[in-house]
Parts: sequence; structure tokens; C-alpha cells
Amino acid sequence: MSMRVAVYGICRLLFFAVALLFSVTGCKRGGGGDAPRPAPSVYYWRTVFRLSPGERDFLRTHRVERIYLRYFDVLVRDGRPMPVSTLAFEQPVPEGTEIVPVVFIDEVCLRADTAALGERIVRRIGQMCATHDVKNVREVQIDCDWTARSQRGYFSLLSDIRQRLRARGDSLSVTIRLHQLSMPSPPAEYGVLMMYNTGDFRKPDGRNPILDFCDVAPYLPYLADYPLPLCAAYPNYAWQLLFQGDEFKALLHDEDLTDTTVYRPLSDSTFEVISARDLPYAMGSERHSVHVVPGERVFCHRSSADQVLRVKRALEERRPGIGRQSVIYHLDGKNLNRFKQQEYEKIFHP
Amino acid sequence: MKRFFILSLLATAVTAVWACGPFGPATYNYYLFNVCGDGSGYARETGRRLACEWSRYAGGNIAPEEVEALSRLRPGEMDTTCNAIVAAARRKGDREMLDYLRLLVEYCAATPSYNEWDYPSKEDVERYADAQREVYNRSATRKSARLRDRYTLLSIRSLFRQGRYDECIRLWQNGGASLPAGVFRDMAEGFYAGALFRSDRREDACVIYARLGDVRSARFCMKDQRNLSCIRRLYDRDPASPVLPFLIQEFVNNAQETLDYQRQRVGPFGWMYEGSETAGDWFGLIGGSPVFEGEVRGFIELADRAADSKRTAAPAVWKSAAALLRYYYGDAAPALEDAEKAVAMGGSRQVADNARAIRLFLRSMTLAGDADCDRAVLPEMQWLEERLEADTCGSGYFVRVRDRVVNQGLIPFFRRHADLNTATALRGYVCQNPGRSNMNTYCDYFQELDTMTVNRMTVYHDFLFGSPRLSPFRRWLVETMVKEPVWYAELLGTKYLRLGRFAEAVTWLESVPLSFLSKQNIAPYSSRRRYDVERWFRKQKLSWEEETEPASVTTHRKLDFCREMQALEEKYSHASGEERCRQAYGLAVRYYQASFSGDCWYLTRYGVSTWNDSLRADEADFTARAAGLLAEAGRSASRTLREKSIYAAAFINYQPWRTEKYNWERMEPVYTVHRGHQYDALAALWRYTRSHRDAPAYMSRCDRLLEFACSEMK
Repeated sequence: MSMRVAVYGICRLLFFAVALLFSVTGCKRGGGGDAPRPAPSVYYWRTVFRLSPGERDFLRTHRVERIYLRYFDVLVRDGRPMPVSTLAFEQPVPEGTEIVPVVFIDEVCLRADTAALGERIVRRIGQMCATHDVKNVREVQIDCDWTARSQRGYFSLLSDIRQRLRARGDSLSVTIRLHQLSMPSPPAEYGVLMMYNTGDFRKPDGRNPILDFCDVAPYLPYLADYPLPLCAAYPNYAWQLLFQGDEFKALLHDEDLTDTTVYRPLSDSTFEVISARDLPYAMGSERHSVHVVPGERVFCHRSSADQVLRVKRALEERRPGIGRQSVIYHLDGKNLNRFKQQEYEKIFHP
Repeated sequence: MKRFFILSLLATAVTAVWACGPFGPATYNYYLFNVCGDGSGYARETGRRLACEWSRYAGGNIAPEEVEALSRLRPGEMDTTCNAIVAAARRKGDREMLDYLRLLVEYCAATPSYNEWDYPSKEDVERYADAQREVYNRSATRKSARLRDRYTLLSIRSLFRQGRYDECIRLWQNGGASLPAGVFRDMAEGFYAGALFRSDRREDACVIYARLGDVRSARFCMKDQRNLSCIRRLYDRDPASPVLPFLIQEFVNNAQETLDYQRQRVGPFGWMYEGSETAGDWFGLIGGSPVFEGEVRGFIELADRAADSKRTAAPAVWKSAAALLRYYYGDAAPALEDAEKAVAMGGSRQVADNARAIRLFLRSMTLAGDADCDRAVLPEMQWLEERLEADTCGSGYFVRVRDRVVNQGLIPFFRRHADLNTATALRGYVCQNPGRSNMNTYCDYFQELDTMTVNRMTVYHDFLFGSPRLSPFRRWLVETMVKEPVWYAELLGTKYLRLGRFAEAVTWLESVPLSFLSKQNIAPYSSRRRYDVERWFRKQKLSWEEETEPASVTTHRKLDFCREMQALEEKYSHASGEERCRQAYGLAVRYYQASFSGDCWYLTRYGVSTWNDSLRADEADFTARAAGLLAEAGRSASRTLREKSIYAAAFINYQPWRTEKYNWERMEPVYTVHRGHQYDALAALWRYTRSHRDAPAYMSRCDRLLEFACSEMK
């Protein structure tokens, strides 16, 4: 009798131990996992597709397998959502590289009638791919800075697009901004968390508006439980911001701030204009001129590999696996030398 | 109540008569600087010129839409189409023209729409390219002298479509430039400009676009060059460059836009405002480019130098630009000096008009007194009127100048000097259809007159139609503005009616003919609704067609009403006992119908809001009068009359017992109860129905009464 009781007791103990083991090991924190098919990736955001030799070299050196390629934007024109800034293909896309067409949708579009919008977007992407022989496409990405007000319309649109893509065996991803981590997750296969433009560049002497850990930190608690699979995109660009008093005036274009006939350094990232002249400034991919006057200031903000890696580590701590895929924003010859080769390797291939 | 709320909201959308909500004040901040046109009428004007050309060919009237329809024809339809142009060529047996039209249609068919969602396939792209090559090859070999301009245009268009810009340029230089003046030549030159732009010769392109009046294309060419650095660079290279006037125009107007934007926004001028109205979005939307004070000051220095040098081709352009910019940045006196100098410098007609318009504006903004107005403003306003009459192509520039000068300069000046008559007359002067009976009731002028007191309006009427001694400026104003005496008479009669001064109303209303009344916006209502119908028993509904179709007025309702009310008031004042109660009830019916709550609101106003209309200033409270009369009628010995009076007193919304506000967060209405006339009347009705079980159904089954009882009579 006592033997049977003992065996029974041991079995019960074993049972609970195993159950406990399973519950601990099987217990996730509620997060949605990582992006499927992770691969080193870049965004291409210019309106003309033309790769320089340096850009091709970069793709080869870092074994970049995927390009998120902006195909067009959708904005409201004459009261209707319309495609604008359509990508012009001056060269074929690199062979062997997966292309993910990206479409940016302005939030205002979501207030208009979107019943036919999903079909139009998917069809147009297909047409563009066919016309320009873009073959290696398995996924489409939608980029939109949606809010609570537009959530319903946006999610409905995404569901429609996703259904259409699935019908032909493709998948859907979306961009996710930090402030959206506390909101319901959109219906997609995964999201790319945008770890750039995290600050406010209206403030002339604030933190680095491109990426600063302090701006990211408040959102980290939402990361672990966010249900959509995620990867992250990091910046490699720089800004030279011109201010007139406290008013933002222009984004300069690679200005030589060491020219002491024009600038007086106030710190290693702030310069004061000391003589009036005409400067190139950036508007899209073209150079134009802006007239500056003494007293105006230039604030330099650069993407920092240290910040990127610090943020990457922090994300990984809270959401293991998010670092399996990293995306660099964005592929542009003038940005590529901002980080060292080994720094890119740490980002792409940790 | 909810149904009432929803129906009210729907009703506000129905007719132009119903006020739909508040509108913000207009700023009249039109751009004044105009030496190249604003391009707003360019496409329309081109369409009109094309239609004229084809009308001349066809010997009949061809509308622009018919020309446009050519672009939608398919080659296979050429033999069967009813298009008026093709039909004319067929009728004339003009094989040469038919051949050209066939080729034109082939060109259009080979031009992909690239509309919002179509994207051409690879096969489409190749097919279009082949078709365009074919069109060019055939058009280039045509040697028709008669149709040379048309074929040149077709050839250059076809080359342009194929991206063969060098050949476009050569074609124009070797042949197009010698074409006779006309719309086909101008259109071909536009494509030549486009080819120049795509060959990195944007300034050359801009000069052509600006000269053609295609300001939109000129703006696109120079979109990020409209700043001081580019103007300075161009000036240093070639002070007489024909691009400069365009860039200066853009610079000055963008400087104004920047100030307008800054002054309308609270807080710093930021690029990242939330929502869709960021500064960047705004300037992107309007195709503008912000210009800040530092640049403006730099430009003024350059403009002073340029205007005084002998090197520039149009010194008045620089000087008038400096004048306007000085004014915008607070230097009024030097601005006016510059403006005077600019006018003296002369120039082309457009440059001279621009300088003169700016000087007029600055004079109107810096008036010292009446004498200034007569001396400095009156001759310029007369000049402006001549320009307005001569502006047959309807660019709208002189209208905008007039509106800005009058609304920003003259009206405030006269108001400051307490001359309300002149200020009001100026408002009437700029209103598009002043004094006409079908005038828009939302027009500023009408709103001003309608809200005036009757005494003030009488004085104003004398100012317009009497023979007071007026200064030259005022005399000119009164004689120039359009005014129909009968319209003012009708308005004055209505104002007296609103006050219950029926005898005085009659003296004005008698002169108003029925033909005038039929053209009023209230005609559908005045022709169908009677004021002797008891509103509390029947609403006189109109169908959608009755409300929106023109109505023929056969009875002068306002005049009849006034006469009837005079007679009834007379009888009432002499009546006593039961007769007085009956008279009181009859008067109450009419007063209530004439109030803003009745069906016959047209008697006292020209529009009513179902949402929140109310008693206005300078208006008798007809609802209150009705309430008082019903109280008297309610003391009648006749049970029927008593019951009707008790019920009516509760029905009318004099001092409503409950008001409602909608809470959008909780998504529900919130009620506030007020103890006043209606509250007491409903309580009295409730008590009556409780103590009289045989009270008529209209009393005991009133849904509003039941609602009141549930809320208050527990």
C-alpha cells in the first residue's frame, strides 16, 4: 500500500515537474517573433533607380540579399488617392537580389474612399514589375504613418492587399513607427520597426533627431509583447540643419563647415554663419541654392554606428531575435562611408 | 428628438436658403505682384483659341469640348464619327485636312494616359514608341503650306513623346520659329521649351513659358531657384535676362505667402506641424517656396541697385517689388516713395499696370484723410474700373486688386473715421451682384445690410438715393455701384415688418412688384406657405422639387401680412371678452408663423438655420408676443379655444424647457432643463390632461408632453 502511494506520489511529482518544465520553456512573453526569411537588407528611396559602382560594391561586400525599393507614393490629388513620384527605372535591378516593392500611403488617403485602393495598388505594382522585368518579388511592403483615427481604414486596406497578395503566393509587410508600438498591430506578415527620425528636428539644439537612445527608450517596454513579427531598420545618413533664430530654414547639402571664412564653430556640431553667401541645399536628390545670412546657425546631426549598435543591442535584449534581420536606411552613395565596414558587418551579420 | 436632430442635419444640406454654419472672415490677401500673369487661365485660354481656329475652319461654332473630343477618337472611328471638326472636313471634301486629322488621332491614340493607376505594359511601351515614330515620319514628309503650322506642331509633339529632345530643338530652330503667329505656333513653342528644360536649359525654357503665359510650367522649371541667390546670380550674369521678372514675381509673392502663413499660425514656424497642414505641405501644395526676412532685406538692397542702374531692362519691376516688400516689412513711407518712382519709370503695359496697382494699394493703406482719397485714390480707382472693363479674357487680376484695395485699405479707413455709409457702399461696390434680387444671401454686402438697424438702413438709403452733397470720391462710388431701388425698398419694408411696425413696412413694400418677388431666394416658400395656418397643428412641408425649382409669386405675402396684421391689431385693441380671446388667438397664429420658428419665416428673413437660429438684434420677439396672446386666448369660455390655446402655448418654443448639447466623447446628448414659459406651459398641459380624461388626442398623446412628463412630473 505504501509502495503504491509512494509510486503514485512520485508520478504526481514527475507530472507536475514536466508540466512546469513545459510551461516555462513554452512560455513566450507574448511577442510575435521575428521577421520570416531574415536577410541583410537596405532601403532604396530615390525616384530614379540607378546604382553607382560604389553602391553595387556595397551590396556585394555585405552580401545584401534584399532591397526594399520605393515604387511610388499615394497622395490625395483632386480629392482622390493617386500615385505620385513613381520610380523611374534607368537600370535593371541586380540579378539575384530580392526586391520588395514599397508603397508609401499618405494618411490623408485613408479618409477618402479606399474601397478600390488595394486592388489598384497591387495591380500597379504588378504592372511595373512586368514592364521593367523585376522578377524576384515575393513580398510587398506598405509604409504609412497611420494614427488611431485612421486605423480602421488602414487595417481594412491592408487586409484587402494581403488577401490579394496571398492569392498569388506573395506576402505583405509594413513599416512600424515607435509610437505605433502601443497600438494594435496591423494585419501583415511582419513589420519593419523604423529606428530613425526618432526625434524632433524643429529643436535647434536638442538631441540627435536622427536616432538617439533617449528618444527610443520610452517605447522599449512595448517591444516584447508587440504581437507582429518584427525586424528593425537603422539610419546611415546625416543632416545639416540650418536655423534662422529658432526657426528651421533648410536642410543643407554636404556643406563644408570647416570653411572659416563662412563659419565659426560653436561646438563640434554647431556652426554659426559669419558671412552671407549662397549655399547648396537638399531638395530630394537635387541641389539648389539657399541664401544664408550672418547669425544663422547650422546644426549637424550624423547617424552614429555606436548609437545604432547600442539601440540594436537594447532591442535584442527586450526582443530576442529581432536582430536576425537588419535593414539600413538608406542605400545612397554619399551615406555609405559614414560607417566603417566592420560596423556594417555588426549591423547586418551580428 | 433624435429623429429631429438627424432630420435637421439633413435639412441643412438641402437648399441654399438654409444657413449651413459659420464661415471664417475673408482676408482678401490676393497676390498683387503680377508682371507675368498667374497662369490660371492659360489652359482655358489655349482651349478657347483652338476652338476659335477650328470654328473659322468649319464656318460654324466649335466648342472647346469638341476639340478635346478629338483626342479621344480612335483611328477606326474616323469614317463614322460625328465629331464636328471631322464632319466639317468631310463635308468640304477636304482630303488634306482629313489626312491631317487622321494622323492627329493616331498620335493621340499612341499617347498613353499615365493616369493615376494605369501603368503601361512593356508591349504598350514598345507599341506606343513605334506608333510615334510612324506619326513623326509621316508628318515630317507632309509639305502642305496651308497646314504647315499644324504639321510642325504634330512633328514636335511626336518627337517630344519619344524623348528626342535634341531633334525637337532643331526642328523648332530650323522651321518652327518662322511659323506665323497663332495658337499652333505657341503650342509648338511650348514643346520646344519643354525640350530645352529636359536638356538642362531651364532658364531658356522659363523665358518661353513666362512669355507664353504658362506660368505653371515656368514655375516648375525654376521651382527651387526662386530665391535671392539665384536672382542675384542671374542678375550678375545678365541684368536684362527675361527670366528675372518671373523670378522677382515669384519671390515677392512667396515672401507675402510666408508672412501670411506665419501670421496665421501660433508658435514657431515649423515644418513638422501635426496633421496635413504643415508649412512644408502648404508650400508644396501651392507650388510655393518660403522666403524669410533675411532674404527679403537682401533682395531689397539688390532691387534698389538694379532699379537705379542702367543695366536692367525693366527698372519698374525692381522698384515696385522693393516697394511692396518694404511695405510688408513695416516701412510704409519709403514703400510709397518707391511705388511712386516705379510708376514714373514706365515699362510694358503689364509692368506699368503692376506698378500702378501696387501704388494704389499702398496709397489706400496709408491714407491721411478725405482729401487724400479724392486726390490720390479716386483717379486710380477710375483707372482700375477702365482696366476691369477691358479685361475681357477674365484673368481676374484687376478684380483681385480692387477687392484687396477696397477691403484692406478703403473700408477700414472709412470705418476708422466713423463714415459707415461710405464703408458700406464700398462693400456693395465690390460685391459681385449687389442690389439684384437673386443675390447670394451669403454675400458680405447683404449680410451687412440685413443686420443693420432699420434707422441706420434708412440713413444709408438716403445716402445712396437722396441727393446729399458728397465728396468727389463718394459721388463716384455712389454712381458706379450697381443698385436697384426696389431691392433696397423690399429690404427696408422687411426690417419694419420684423419690428412689428406694419404701417411703415407697407409704405416700402407697396412699391415692390411681383416680378421682383418671384426672383427672390425665398420665393418657393412665400408662394406656397400661408401664415394663417396653425403651426402647432400642421407643418406646411414642401417637396424637394418645390423647394429647388423656380416659383412664380402671385401674391405679395409680406404686404398682405402687414395689412392684415394692422387690421387685426386694430380689431383686437377694440375687442373685449370672448371676441378679444378669439382675436388674440388669430394674432398668435400669425405672429408665431412669422417668427424664426414658424413656416413663414420668409416674412422676416431671407434664410433660416434649422440648427441654431434665434431672435436677432433689431427684431421684435414674435414668439414672445404669440405666447402672451395665447395666454389671453387660454382664458376663453370656449373649451375648444381654451384647449387649442393651452396646447399651442406648450408647443411654441418660447423659453424652451430643455436645451441639448451633444457629448462627442460619450456619444450621447446631454440635456439641461430650464424653468421658463414652455416649462410652465407643458406643466399646465400635463395637469389639464390629467384632470380632463376626455381631452382631445392631440393634447393627451403629444410625444413631447410625455417626454416632459417622464422627465419632470414624477
